[in-house]
Amino acid sequence: MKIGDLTPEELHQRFSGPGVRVRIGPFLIHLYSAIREFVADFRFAYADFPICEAHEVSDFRVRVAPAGGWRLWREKQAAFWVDGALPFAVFPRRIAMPFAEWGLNWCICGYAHQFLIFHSAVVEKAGRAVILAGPPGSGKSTLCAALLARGWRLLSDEFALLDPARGCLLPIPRPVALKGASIRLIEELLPHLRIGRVFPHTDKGTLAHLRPPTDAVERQAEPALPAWVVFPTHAESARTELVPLRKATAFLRLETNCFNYATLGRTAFEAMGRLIEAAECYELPFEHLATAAGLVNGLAELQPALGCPLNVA
Amino acid sequence: MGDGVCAVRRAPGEERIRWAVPSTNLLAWRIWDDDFLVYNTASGQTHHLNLLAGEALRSLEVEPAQTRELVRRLAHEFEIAEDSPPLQMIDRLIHELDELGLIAPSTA
Amino acid sequence: MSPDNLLLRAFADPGLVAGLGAERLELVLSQARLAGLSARLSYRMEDAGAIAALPDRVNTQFAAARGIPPPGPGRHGPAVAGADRGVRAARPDRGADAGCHGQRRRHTWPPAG
Repeated sequence: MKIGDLTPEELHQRFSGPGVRVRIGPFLIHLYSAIREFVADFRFAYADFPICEAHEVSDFRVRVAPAGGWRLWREKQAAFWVDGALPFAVFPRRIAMPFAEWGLNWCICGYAHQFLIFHSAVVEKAGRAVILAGPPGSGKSTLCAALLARGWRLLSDEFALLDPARGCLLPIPRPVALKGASIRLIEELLPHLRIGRVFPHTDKGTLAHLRPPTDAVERQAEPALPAWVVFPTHAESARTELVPLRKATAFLRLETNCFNYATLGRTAFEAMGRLIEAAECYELPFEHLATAAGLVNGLAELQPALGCPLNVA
Repeated sequence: MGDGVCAVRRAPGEERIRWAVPSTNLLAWRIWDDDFLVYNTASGQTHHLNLLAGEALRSLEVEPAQTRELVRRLAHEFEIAEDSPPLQMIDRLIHELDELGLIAPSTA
Repeated sequence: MSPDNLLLRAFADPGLVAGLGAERLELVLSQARLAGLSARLSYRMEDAGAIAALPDRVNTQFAAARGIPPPGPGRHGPAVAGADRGVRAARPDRGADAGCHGQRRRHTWPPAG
């Protein structure tokens, strides 16, 4: 059974009562909420995600609950609870959905140290994945969405989860967070995919969530091997090109995008070393999204065999 | 080595120090072309070294040495003269490796 | 902390944990995580021979908690050091190319020709 198989009222009843156990990538989240608007937003964004049985133990118990306090006279507030504690201050109830997404990010980054976790989008084609690594504002989410339009499978918009022992990337195909102008851009680029309601006035500006493709969710148990690491940087007047990086440079740059490198220490060093050894690494300054997506797409087309490096003079 | 160009003033007797990689460092290496990445388990830090620094550290990891001996080894490794400009900076290199905690005076 | 606290009881009697239902097990894990005691609980249960009976997902969480090395001296500052300050000794003018592969290449699309 999927989230979207329940009617809004059924889902609200479950969220308000025993909670709902949802499988999201490698994680099982036990989610509670009495906030109808949040449940409705969640139902839209996570419609294709499977509901797990009540006997399955979750990784995180999360509650998005109404909150009182002095701000109540201005607008309704909400709180994000994890493990029965409040790691964050209360926030306006109208942005419960984006806040819950950030809260889940926090849970993963804080505790999921069975993985090496990179701040990056990940897409896959023919079993090979490209890690699009970069800080907020680098354009990786937008580039990720543009690659979905070219037939790439979404593994993640936010995190690359690297299994350090197996060297593969685990999918966690959550909704793609679109900000500002990219909302309209992606609407035009991916008209067959649905974008949820717009949340203005968040800390990151105007925000909306692209519902992940059904195929990506159905295949969320399928890992992929990393074949490319690309560092996109969106800038006006940038010449759009793929610039090969020395492996050591790519390693150091990817490390800056790793949430738990220092935490995992030697395990991280060795796992990242193997990843960089196996992958072709590039930086990608770009102004024009379509051209950038074309270049990344071209990597898969020009390297038909796994592990076969490009041979261009 | 003679009076090479040294950015670091040697303390008296420093030339007799045998430099070594402490056993607790448990270095892990990743080498690509002329780039050496080394992880120091004792400090939890990762270092990016160039060719000369990387080979010097690897040499000391295998066998501790005084500065003069290290110069001899590196000259042989790179097939250059012991008094060539790169090796005249060996004192500075050793000083930096020591500051980074990658090497220390050998207690053996 | 109340003596009825499930986490306390788990430490006192590790064997009871495997018999807990999902809700109670989640509660114990939450309490352990909140208290920073997940790794310690896992070792306690392992010593008591009670860890094998736990669901895989729980053992994954324990492994993740154990995987974090304890804080120690010297673990300060950036994880990657020396990259900018560098250990910048001059490169020898011979032998430096030994093992140097990979010319820089620039890709444009569509490819020429």
